[in-house]
Parts: sequence; structure tokens; C-alpha cells
Amino acid sequence: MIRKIALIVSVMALFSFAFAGSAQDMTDWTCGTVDGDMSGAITITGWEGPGEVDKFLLAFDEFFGEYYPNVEQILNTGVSWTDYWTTLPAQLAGGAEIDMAWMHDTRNDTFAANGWALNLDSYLEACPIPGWPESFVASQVDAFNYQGSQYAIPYDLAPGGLYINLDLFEAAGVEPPGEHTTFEEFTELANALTQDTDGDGDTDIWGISNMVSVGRGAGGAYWIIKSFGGELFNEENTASMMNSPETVAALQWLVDLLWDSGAHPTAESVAATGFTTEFLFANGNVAMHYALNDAAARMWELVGDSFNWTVVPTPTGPAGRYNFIGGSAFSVPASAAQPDLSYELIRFTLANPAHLCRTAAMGAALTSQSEFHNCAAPDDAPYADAYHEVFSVIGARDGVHPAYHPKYLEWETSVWVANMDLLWTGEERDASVVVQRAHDQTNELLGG
Amino acid sequence: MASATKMKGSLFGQRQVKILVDLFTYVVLAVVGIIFIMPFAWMVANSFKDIRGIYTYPPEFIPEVWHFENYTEAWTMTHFDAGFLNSAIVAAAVVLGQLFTASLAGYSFARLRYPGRDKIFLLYISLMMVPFTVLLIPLYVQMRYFNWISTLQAVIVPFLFTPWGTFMMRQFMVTIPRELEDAARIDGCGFFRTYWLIILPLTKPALATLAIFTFVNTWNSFQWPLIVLGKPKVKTLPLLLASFQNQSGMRTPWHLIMAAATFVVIPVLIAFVVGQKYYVRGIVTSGIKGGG
Amino acid sequence: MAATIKARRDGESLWAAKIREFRGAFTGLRREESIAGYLFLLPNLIGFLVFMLFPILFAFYIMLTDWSLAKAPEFIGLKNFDTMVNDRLFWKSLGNSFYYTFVAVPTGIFIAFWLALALNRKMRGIIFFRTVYFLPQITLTVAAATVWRWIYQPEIGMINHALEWLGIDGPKWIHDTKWAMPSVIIMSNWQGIGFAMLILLAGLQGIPEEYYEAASIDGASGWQRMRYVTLPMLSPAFFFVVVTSLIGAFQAFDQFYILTEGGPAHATTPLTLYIFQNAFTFFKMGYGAALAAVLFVIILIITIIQWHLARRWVFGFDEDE
Repeated sequence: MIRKIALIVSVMALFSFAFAGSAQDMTDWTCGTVDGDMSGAITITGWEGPGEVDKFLLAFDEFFGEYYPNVEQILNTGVSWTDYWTTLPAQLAGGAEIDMAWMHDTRNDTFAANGWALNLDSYLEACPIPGWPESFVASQVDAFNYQGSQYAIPYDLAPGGLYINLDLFEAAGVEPPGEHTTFEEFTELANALTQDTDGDGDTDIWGISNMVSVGRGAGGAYWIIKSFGGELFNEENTASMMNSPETVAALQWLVDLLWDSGAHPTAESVAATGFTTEFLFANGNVAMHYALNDAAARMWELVGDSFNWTVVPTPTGPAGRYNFIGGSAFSVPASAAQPDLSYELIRFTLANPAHLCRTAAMGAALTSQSEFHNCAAPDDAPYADAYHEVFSVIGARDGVHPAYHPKYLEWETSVWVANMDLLWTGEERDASVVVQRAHDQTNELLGG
Repeated sequence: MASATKMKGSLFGQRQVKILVDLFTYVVLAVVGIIFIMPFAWMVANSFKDIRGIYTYPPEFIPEVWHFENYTEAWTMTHFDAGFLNSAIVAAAVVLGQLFTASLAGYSFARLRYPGRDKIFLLYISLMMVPFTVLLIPLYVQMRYFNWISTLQAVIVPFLFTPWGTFMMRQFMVTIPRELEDAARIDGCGFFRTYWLIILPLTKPALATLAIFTFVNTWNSFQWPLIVLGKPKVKTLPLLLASFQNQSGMRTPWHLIMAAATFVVIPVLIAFVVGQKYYVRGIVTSGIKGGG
Repeated sequence: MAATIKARRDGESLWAAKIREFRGAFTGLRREESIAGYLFLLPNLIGFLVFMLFPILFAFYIMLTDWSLAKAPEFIGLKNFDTMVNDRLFWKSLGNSFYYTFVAVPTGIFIAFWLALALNRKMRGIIFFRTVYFLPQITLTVAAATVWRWIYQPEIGMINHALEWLGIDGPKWIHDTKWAMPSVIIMSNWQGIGFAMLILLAGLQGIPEEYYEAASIDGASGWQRMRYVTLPMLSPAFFFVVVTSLIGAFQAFDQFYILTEGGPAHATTPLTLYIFQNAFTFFKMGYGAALAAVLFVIILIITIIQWHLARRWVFGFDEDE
């Protein structure tokens, strides 16, 4: 044991020395607790599919190639989101040995509270991640902290923003919105951009898309509620705060956007495409499209040079400016057979400057800010500066998300979606009626 | 033909009536069939488009340019050769196993008399009524106990017996005329020989149906294999197909998924058409055909 | 079973009669048959005991617990069932399950029956048509769901186009809480009808030619052949289709999951989906198991009722013991 600690300390010393000198690939990225000749397998499971996960797989290969050539990687990636969150708990409950697992901010507290995720505090202390935590985005570090302990290391942040078709703005003769655009101005703008170009009575170009959709969770509306000054739960997450006039006003703003002005495609119009609203934007049918930063790389592929586009921040409300922020992380399940090795792998993948730029260029908004500035978007993308400003600066600064308490997922399905869907299908147009019902049900759930 | 002679006196001959009815049947089957074939045809059509072609709006059915290379690309993108082998092993084992256990038990429930038979039967088929969701975790624990995680046994052995198939075999076996069986018994056939020589050949359509169902279900089985088959080398086709998917729908290579889904389905189609060969009249003692 | 009671001797208790009956089964000529009967069940029985007994007993235990999947289950007696009484989503999803089952099953079987009759005809290319009607079973579900979303699309969708042509203003289908369930029912019948059709077809094929010949020689009309040969001889297969379709409908999951994900506003969340959500999204496995037990009992009761009714109409049910 003492030998082990001595080893760790000496490695740490060596390590900090190496870092003080130069943070190049000469650094030893191991922590000294795993034998370099070890042979065996490491089981890794995640939801990202081909094209998305490659940015990390390249780093994994480099890590094992360099330090543990005899370790076999057993990768289970490309599992769909819903299947992932069924399979992982079933496997963990059944006692499966999984060494590393993708984690999401919506699930972190539940997994930590259930004892499924390993508390990483001792690892962070014994073998610190370079730049941790000061150069990582604070909100993301916090999102994976449960009761003062770190349970996962964030690998990206996903703030919301607006993708805008500049050609359509020019045609309509209006200016793109900015950080200080109010919600009222935003509605006017959306209306001005909405057009029936062929005069057949059906809308051909919508002002705005993807602000709401049937079945969507509360994260998509929470930033608007905050901007209007409303809230969902009390501080302790034991009671509802939903029935305030501010929350009602925020939701009513969305309802009006959808049903009054006709500037936002309804669920049916979106369904006509068979795919997502992203498609409507890429096809030139939408002037402004709400999406997270990770849509940028896809837009780049899909839009090509068919029109000019860029990204702008979401509007500012009476109570200030907020935008949605989400994020994912790497965690080590408590039942892992190789927790030390997993930790080293995470550390290498998220902090080795030798490959961070490549990883970022492949689509991840890395949480390690030091590298984030230089290589956040595909190098020569015309929107690169705007992307940086909207997502890395403003998006990271104003990011909010609902409080993901352990009952959050149940609340989201059984209260939020159950009630709000009626607004998005148009069966209810008065937000206050729906909000009151949701308020009562929330109290029932959280209080019970 | 015997009935045809009887019909000679009527206004239309049996033959003309049959042609008219056939024609009507063809038209109805074809019209309704369009709805049934369309999603499949759409899947095949999309397997020849490029990704932009899939996103064309309003949707176009026929590809502008035929991208045959989608198939080779899809094939090489994942280890489909290994996947085919795994799926084939699993499907073959489960189909043969279920045919055997279900027909044996079906015969027992349908024909043999012993105390408690019908109660056991009801109890047995009540197993179908337990939602699988609550069995997932205990079954997984059990597989770990057997050390079967990430082996094909885990998706074969627990599924070798089937209340559903047993029920079906019983229902088909009760319609077999008892005289045939009695004759065999008088000739000195034991119960197993009677089952093997008399009952099984007479239940070919039912066996073929069970084989087709089991094959399709096993071939498409997803949730349990996803949980229990962790290692790439044991993955079955649906797992490989699913691993193409991307979280952000737009980046998913739908054209390749459709191509892969098309070649994955071919063995099922073959199994179905081959199975049709066994859809023959149970007892054909002569060439006489019924009029209905 | 009725025979057992009939054979009771004077002053003999019911159990004594049953035991005597049971012993009788193992003497003389019937002995061999009884032993063969049990032996034939053996492969299934072993499979069940080894692979299903533990999971099922385990499920029955955890319905009496509070289990978050991670920590050890905590025994809470019947509290889960108590919670259910006031659980609004339980009642809603239960109602949805009944709605779905009792609309989808009769319509599905009705169509499958006529389809099977049509596909039973001796015609050129009939295998092609059988295959066509079976295709939905093997079409990639994502492709099927995508196409159906187009079909249901209120403005440009195929159904509403057709309705418009007839002068009817079509509904919003999956985008409306009232029409979402009928939408799921139509799609799932489209997908599932191939199975019912195939079983009925196999049943039709299994009817011995001789029966039709005999009926024809007796001068039976087409309808009479249907009434006195086809329907009685098809009744075991029909019964099988009815029973398993009802069980299958109560357990239906995929079609909801892929087309509507249970929405909008839980309009298409059946009990199975709610069980799944409780188990793997809310991590309330104990409650999920209790819900599953309720579903199990409902299916069991419905099946037993059919069992008793079956004696009146299903061939092969009256000759028990």
C-alpha cells in the first residue's frame, strides 16, 4: 500500500514537472497504478454512433497503442439513446462488468444516488487531470457533481442557439436577431420572415422552427421560463413553483408562436418531412432554427453552399438572458473491473492537448476551455467565429437547465409531457389552465 | 372434378365461376396489397439513393441515380459476415429446438390422456402472459451465473421452449382424425412412433407456420440480445443494424441502413417462400380437389 | 375434469376421488399413455424450470418491494398496489390497453380471416400475394414508422388526401389525442395481420379434402360447406388466434414505441409501456413488477373466460378426459 502511494506521489511529481515544461505528447499519461504489460479487456459502452464517436475512438486507440498494447477494447457504441438508458441499468443491476460508460447530465444524480457510478474524487486527487477543474466549463463540472463529489468527467457542453438562413433575412429585408433581442421583437421578426411564396394558402417558409415539439422534455422550455422570471421547482426540489404568472407567460409565448402567428411549423408540418425540423432548415424552408451547438457540423454537411447561414444567440427576456445548456460525460461504473485503467483513459481522452483540437474539430464542444477557443468548429467554416461567440462564450455563460433531481425523469414523463403536449397539439390554447394542472400534479409527485 | 360434373346444369359452369371469383380476388388482393408492400418498397428504393436523395422534399420514390455501391459500403462498414453467421446459428437452433419441444408437448396436450393435463396446459400457456420487462434482470443474473454473458447460448437456450408454439401445435393436432392414430396404434406403433410417423407429417402446415414465426422473431430479436450480447464478435444482425444509428437523426447514414436492412431481410424472405412449400393439404388421398 | 366428479363414489370425498382417478391413470392400459403424456412434456418442463422459474418467482417477489435496481429491494408488502389506486397514469394506461386490445383484435382477426380465405384459393401467383401480406413483418420498423408518419400527415398525407377526395375533412391522426390510438391500431394491424393470416391459412390447409368431398357429394352449397366444414374445422386455429392475439395485444409495445412514443399526452401509453417506464426510466422496478402482476391477472382472467366459452364453439374441446 505504501509502495503504491509512493509510486503515485512520484508519478504525480514527475507528471507536474513534465507539465511545467511542455504539454506535448512526451507526457506519460498513465497514473502508475496499472501494469503496462497487462493483458485483458476493457468494456466501454456509449450511445454515440459512427461519425460521432470516432473523435474519441481515435484517442482510445492512441492511448492503448502507446501505453497498454495488450489490452483489448470491447466497444459498445452506437446504441440508440432510449435503448442505451434501458440496457445500461439492466446490465448494471444484473452485475455486468462495464469499465467505462457515457453519462448524461439528466441521469448523473440518479446514477450517483443509486450507487452505480464510481465516486471519482480519490482519483482526481491521486492523479489529477491537467487543468481540472479551473479550465473546464464550471456548469459542466457542476452538472456531474452529486453531493459534493465528482461522478463523471464532462466531455462536452451543448448550449442552445439559433441557426439562421441569411439569404432569407436578406430577401425579407430584416436584420438577424442578436443577444439583446427581446421575445416580443423575436415574434415580430419570425412573423416577418414567414411567407407563402407561391400564394397557395400554405406556408412555404417559416420564421422559426424547433422551439417546441410534442413529447419534448422540460429542458427545451426551461430557459424561456427563466428568461421570463419563472421557475419549475423550489430550491429543495420538494414543491412546484410552476403556477407563477411568469412561468405561464413564458409558456403562453410559445403557444402563441405556434398557434397564433403561424410562424412556427406545427407538429404535423414537421411530420410531413418524415424527419426532423433540421431538415426543413437545411432545405431552405425555415429562416431561424433552434438547435444545440452539435447541429453545426451536420448543417455544414447538409446545407453545403446552397445558402449563407450563421448562428446567433437566443433572445433576452424580462428577467435576463438565459439559454439551455446540456452536456455529456464519461463515467466509471461502480462494478468496473478496471476502474484505474478507465480513469486513465478518460484523463487522456479529455485532457491531452495533442489531440484535443482534432476532437473539437470533429464536432465536440469540449469542456476544457483552454483548447476550446482555437478549434471549436471545422477550421475554415465561415460561421466559426459566430459559433465560438454564440456557444462557447455566451452559451456557456448563460447556460441553464432544470434541476435534475432523482425524481426528475419521472416528473418529466408523467407531469411535464403529459400536460404540455396538449399545448403543442393545440388541444389547449390557454397555458394557465395546463400549468395549474401540472403544478398540482408536481406537488403531488414531489411531496408524496 | 366430381363436383364440377354436378354443376353442369347451371347457367355458368364451375370453371367460369372460378375464373370470375379469381379475377375479383386478384383485384382486391392487388389493391390492398399496395398498402402492405409500400413501406417495404420504400425501404428498398431508399437503399439505392444517396443521403441527399433520402432527404428530398417532397419525397421522391424512384432514385434519381442508382447507388448500387451502398450495398458493398454497408456490408463492409460493420462485420456483417460474422453477424450473418451468428444470426443463422441462433435462428437455426431456436427454430429446430422449438419445433421439437412444441410438437412433442402439443401432441401430449392434444391427444394423450392423463390426470391434470388441461390444468398443466393452462398453467403452461399462462407463461406467455408475464411481461418480459420484469424478467429481463433476473434472466440476466441467471445468464451471468451460467457464465453465458456474451455467448450465443444466452440467446438460444432460454428460448428453446415455447408456450406459444406448444399452444399452436395443440390446436392443430386436435383436428387430425383420431382414426388415423388408432390405426397406427393397432398396428403396434408406440406413442413416439405414432407422433413421429403419423402426427408430424400431418401437421406440416402448422410446423411450417411455427418455423416461419420463430425464424422471423429470432432473426429480428433485439432487446434481449442487446443487453446480453456485449462482445462485437457475437453480435447478431439487428444489433449491427442498430449500431449504424446516430443520436442526431440527420447524420445517420439512412441509405446504408436501408441497404443493410434489405440484405438482412433476404434470408427471412427465403424462409417464408420455402415455408410455403409445406402449405399443402393435410391429407391428400387422391387428386380430387374441393370447390371451395 | 367433469368426468372426475361424475365418477365419485358414494361417501367418497372429492380429493379421495381425485387421488383414485390419478392412481387409475397409472394402471392397466392407461398407464402407458399417462407416462408418455408426461414424458412428452419433459423437454418443455425442463426448459421452464431451468430458465423461467427463477425469473418469474423473482418478479413475484419484487412486486412486494421498493426496488430502485441499484440497492437491495426493500420489502413493503402490498404498498405498491395501494399506490396504484391513486395513480392517474396507471388508470389511463390501463384504459389505453383495453381500448387498444378490444378494437385492434376483433378488427385484425376479421380482416385476417377474409385475407386467409382469399389466399387459400388455388390461383397462379398466390405465394407472391402471401408474401406481400407478410412483408410488413419483416420491414425495418424505422422504415415502416417513417412511411406511416407520412401516410398520417394531416396536410399532405395519403389518408387525408383520399378523404378530401371523398369530401371529408380528415383528422390530425397521430397529432391529436383522440385520433392517436386509432392511428396506432391501424398501423399495428397492418403490421401484425400477416401472422394471424398465416395461422388461419395453415388451419384452412389442414382441413382434410375428404370432408369437403363428402359435403359436396351430399349436395352442400358453398355457404353450407363453410358453415359445416370450414368453420368447425378451423375453430381450433381460430381459437388459438383469438387467445394469442388478445394476449399479444395486452402486451403490445413496439408499435407504440416507434410510432407515437406513447404520446401525445399519454394518449397512446399502454400499460406495457408504463411498466417499462417505471422499471427503466423511473427506476421503480418494484412498482413496475406490481403493474406487471396486474396485467398478468387481467390477461389470465380473460383467457380463462375464453377457455370456458371455448367448449361451446371450439372443435377438440369437448373430448377432454
